[in-house]
Amino acid sequence: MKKAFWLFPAIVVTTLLIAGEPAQPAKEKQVRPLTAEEIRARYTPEKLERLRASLAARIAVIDQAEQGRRAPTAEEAAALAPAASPAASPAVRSVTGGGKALHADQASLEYLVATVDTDGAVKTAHQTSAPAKKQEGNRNEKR
Amino acid sequence: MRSAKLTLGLLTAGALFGADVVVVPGDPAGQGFNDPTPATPVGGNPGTTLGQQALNVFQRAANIWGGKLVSKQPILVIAFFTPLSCTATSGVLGAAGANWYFSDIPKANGGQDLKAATWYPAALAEKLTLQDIVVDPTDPFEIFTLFNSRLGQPGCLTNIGWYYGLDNNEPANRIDLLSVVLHEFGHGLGFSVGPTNASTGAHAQGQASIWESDMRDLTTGKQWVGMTNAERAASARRDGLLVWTGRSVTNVIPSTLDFRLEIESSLGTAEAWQSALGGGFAGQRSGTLVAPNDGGGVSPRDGCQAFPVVANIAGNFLLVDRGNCTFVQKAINAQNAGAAGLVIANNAAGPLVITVTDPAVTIPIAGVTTATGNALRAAAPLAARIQRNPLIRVGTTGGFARLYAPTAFAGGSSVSHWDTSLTPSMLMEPFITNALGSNVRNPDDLSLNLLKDIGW
Repeated sequence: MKKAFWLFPAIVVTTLLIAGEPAQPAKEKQVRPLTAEEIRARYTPEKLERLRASLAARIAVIDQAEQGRRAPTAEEAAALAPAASPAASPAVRSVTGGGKALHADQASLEYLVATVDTDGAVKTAHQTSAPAKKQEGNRNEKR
Repeated sequence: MRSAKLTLGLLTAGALFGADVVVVPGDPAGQGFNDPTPATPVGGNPGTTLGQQALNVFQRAANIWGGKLVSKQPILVIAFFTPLSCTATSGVLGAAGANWYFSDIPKANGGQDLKAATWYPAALAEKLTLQDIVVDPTDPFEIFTLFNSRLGQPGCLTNIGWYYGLDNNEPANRIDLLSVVLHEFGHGLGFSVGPTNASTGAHAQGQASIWESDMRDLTTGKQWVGMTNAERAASARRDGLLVWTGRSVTNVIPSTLDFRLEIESSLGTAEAWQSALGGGFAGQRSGTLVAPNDGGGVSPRDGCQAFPVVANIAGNFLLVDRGNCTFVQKAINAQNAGAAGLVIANNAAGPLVITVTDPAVTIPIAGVTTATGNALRAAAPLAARIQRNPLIRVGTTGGFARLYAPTAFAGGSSVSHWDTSLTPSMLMEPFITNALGSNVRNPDDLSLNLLKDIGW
């Protein structure tokens, strides 16, 4: 079923309920809509620009003489390329229950620390120092 | 509903055949998805504001992917409209990627093991392990996307804005948002070599991405997963020789890609690309290839001016250079001169795949690389045979589909896209063409099959 979740301008906190049917877990989510202010605080324009540097992109070039689209020249592609993101050592986070995680945000060298209040509300704070030990020779770039 | 303290429980039906792809708009009030600017419904999109129309397009893209994939875990996409790089004639339309990469996640009951020490995009890892993997409860998104909010404004592809219709029927001065959103969602679902650094070849935390087992360099015969960083970096710049070897893609190449067009001459066999403009090179066409000057203009080699009567074009294949006027103009000039066919040499790196159409053009047209064009011009006039090779599919090398790996590495484009030589055009090519629709699977496309190869 395609529920129109997106009607809620929300960040969704997910938990999996597996009780009752362990072989095929029910798809259920605990949703905590976040305010627009909270979303803005998390994704500032500067942060979006940094994230852009780590993503695969689609480009369009309009050739005036041909009156159509074409692939960019090397110079055009270079002009459109994002500024290089700061070299960052990839920080791996542990996943509860086992395994490792890399976040697409790591190149920004900003790390989000979350705490959950007793009432279920999530509070976040940024810290600029890397919480994980740096590893030589690995630079994180995601696309 | 917006209280930070409010918790809602939402239940969705299990998706036995499909996946829930959920779009979460991230824009502030008055911008992007919340843009209140009145809009007239267009192309099946009933929205009456720009923001509503954008949301409708994103939901259509989510539904298309959701209908092709199977996952019991909802796929959350955080989406923003924000200024991205652009000039008056070029611009970044959108960008996307997995929001998280996971490795070595233990499977839930009924789930599958992941390959050890291998990074998976979040949505795929959750599909395979049958669990919603939560590292940061405030950042649960599987996919992160950005779209250009300045498109069409002065200085940013000026006057060429988004088309919000759902029918892939955008006018010439609009860019189809639906096909761009589909493309970007594809990256977020796993159409990317990330988090491996394609430019340097460096693995994130010393671990390969799930893509690399199916990527082969035909120069060395090695898969990416078994290469050194330096070998991967070199491979990312081997045009036409970096290929996808996954079985799902390779099996459907015959039902997806056209036969390769070739120009045979005393110079050897050169790869060419059938144009959507004009008639096709059906069967075998033999004749003389000529390259006379046209009537002048910016360049006498571009075919933008009418050819003089003495040019000896009638009944022959005519070679011209790309540039300085429309493809249609070149074709009409060639047609009026009596050419049996037109060969257009690219003026930039890579193949020339012409996707515009015009019913006034009836002669067959082929595009060739700059190098091929220069060689043919130097030898002209010469006997040539233009035909499709029934044993080779266009955009393949060694029977495998090519990945985009130009010799000049293009950040954000290289490696994590299909090569532009594949025809018909693929959704996951790096540059938007006139021929992109919204079908993501064969017989129109290989992109869904690639996702199947990595575990979807």
